[in-house]
Amino acid sequence: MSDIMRSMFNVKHLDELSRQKNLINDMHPLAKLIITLVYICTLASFDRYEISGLLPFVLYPMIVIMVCDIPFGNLIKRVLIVEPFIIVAGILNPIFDKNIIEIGGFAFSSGWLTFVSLILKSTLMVTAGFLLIATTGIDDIARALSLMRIPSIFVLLFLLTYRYIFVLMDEAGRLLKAYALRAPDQKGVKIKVWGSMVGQLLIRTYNRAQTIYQSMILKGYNGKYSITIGRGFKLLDAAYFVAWVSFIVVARAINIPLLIAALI
Amino acid sequence: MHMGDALISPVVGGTMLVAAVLVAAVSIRKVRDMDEKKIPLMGVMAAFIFAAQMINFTIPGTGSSGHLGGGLMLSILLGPYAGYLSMAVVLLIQALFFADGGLLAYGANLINMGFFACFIAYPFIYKFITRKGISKTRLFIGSIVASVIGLQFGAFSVVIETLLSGKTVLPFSQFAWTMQGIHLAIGIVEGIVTAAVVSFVWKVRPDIIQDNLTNDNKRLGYKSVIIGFIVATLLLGGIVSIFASTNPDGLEWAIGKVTGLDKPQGDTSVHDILKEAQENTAVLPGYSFKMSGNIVKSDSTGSETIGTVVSGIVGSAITVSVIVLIGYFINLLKKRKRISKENEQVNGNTSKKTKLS
Repeated sequence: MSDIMRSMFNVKHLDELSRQKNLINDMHPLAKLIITLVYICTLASFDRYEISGLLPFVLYPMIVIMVCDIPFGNLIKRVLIVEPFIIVAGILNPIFDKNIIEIGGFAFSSGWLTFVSLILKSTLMVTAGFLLIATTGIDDIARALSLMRIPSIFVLLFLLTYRYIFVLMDEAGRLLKAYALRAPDQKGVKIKVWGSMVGQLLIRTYNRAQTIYQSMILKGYNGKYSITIGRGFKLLDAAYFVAWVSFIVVARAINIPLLIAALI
Repeated sequence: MHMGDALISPVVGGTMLVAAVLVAAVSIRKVRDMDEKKIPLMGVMAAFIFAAQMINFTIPGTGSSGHLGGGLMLSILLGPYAGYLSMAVVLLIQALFFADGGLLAYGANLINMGFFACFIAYPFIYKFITRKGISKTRLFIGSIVASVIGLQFGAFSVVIETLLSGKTVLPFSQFAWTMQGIHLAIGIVEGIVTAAVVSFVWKVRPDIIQDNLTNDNKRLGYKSVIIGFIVATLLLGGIVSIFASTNPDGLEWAIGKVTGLDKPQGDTSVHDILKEAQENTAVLPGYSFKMSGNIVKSDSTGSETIGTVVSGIVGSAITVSVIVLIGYFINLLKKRKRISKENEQVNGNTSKKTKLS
């Protein structure tokens, strides 16, 4: 029960952060979407032993977090929730990767390098994904998607689903509260009851969909959904875009920490 | 089952994304042809999956709890094409808001959880078992078998994609067995849960499920989707192998496992150039690794490696401090801005007061 409320709050919270006024939130959504994708793809292209080359990439999330006043603790908590699977997949590396490396007299499995590299990469990627939503918001992402020529059916579906998640979660929350009041101290819903409970919710959902469809028809829905394109792509957006993409390309091409060390 | 971005390479992620988009394009055309009435239903049903996932059930005897995946249920309720599209939206929202599955891995996740459930498990298994009409037993058997097989395909696909990406070193057979085993259990639970909901709805509102069945029977065009998928995979598989041969990463490892060689032998000039480039750029270049237990002893390469490592650590420390410094400056700027704003406000207030007086 409290779980539902918490996850609803968390989802809304991310979206609402994007309504703050600041430099990055005001950038064109398409620029932010593509930067995020380029950032993630570039991180993914690194070798599995790479560590030092990944460090300059911390700059991007850090600047976005600072400029946009993203609550850091909250963000880290969300990132940590996703991490366990990566840790499981990564922790096996030191066991299976039998190569031994020796650094300054210490010999250890090169799997540890992979492990650290994986955790670092995954943290940066997940953070970048959250920052996209926290700086752009769902409506602007839908706008960016339709600018990328994603069919309007899909964009409409995306927006509709997002909108109704809250309505249905609210409904599910009420169902669960009613259940919890009659069957206290239970971890979940008994599987025998679960089917009819969720089935009830499904039927209500179905009825709701009919009503929604009828009201859409009344408002002139004709199978198409037009999204307002919003403001155009300005010079500032282009500058923001070019700056980050060139930073990412340079950081990928040159191992900056090694370069710095070589210069010293 | 959701794959994150850290475990997938751009080539594998991109390939799967193209395949997933192609299937989605066919589905969109089919849905558009059928009736637009379904679109609000699809959206609300996708949202329903989220709500249903929040209602945990207790698995008898184990004390643990699980939740619904949704692919099979969506295709039973909406048909395969609309089901696939709804699943695409569910996965996109999960990736964006919960980081459940990455953005680069989005295509892979959509194929693993959407395609196999909607275009393999549903038409070939669920529909086959329930072809003589729905009854409670057929519904249960159909759902369980279909979701087990759909998830087995999906889990195997995860194994293949992870190995081809080469971001982690897991031995194929152990990884595959673990994944298939876990997903056998998940598949059974998912099947039971799907059947429980569908059979309830079928009892109370048979029209919801019947509607979709009659709609489905009018158009059985899975062939084009399946053939399209296979062609796309083969075509892109070819492209992947070209990429993989110039960038020996995941495949290198897989081939090494199969042939027992340390590294696949490449003798083209491209290989030499790449190898040189790799050795120049890598912090811990390939030659400092020796197979199983042999510590590098050669003095010259050893000291060279240590030199690189030390400079790597020093450089990394400097990089991190520069980044922290930039953060500090941003903070300083923000503070200054805030103070000047507050000053302005104070000044404004005083000037107002003077005006008033």
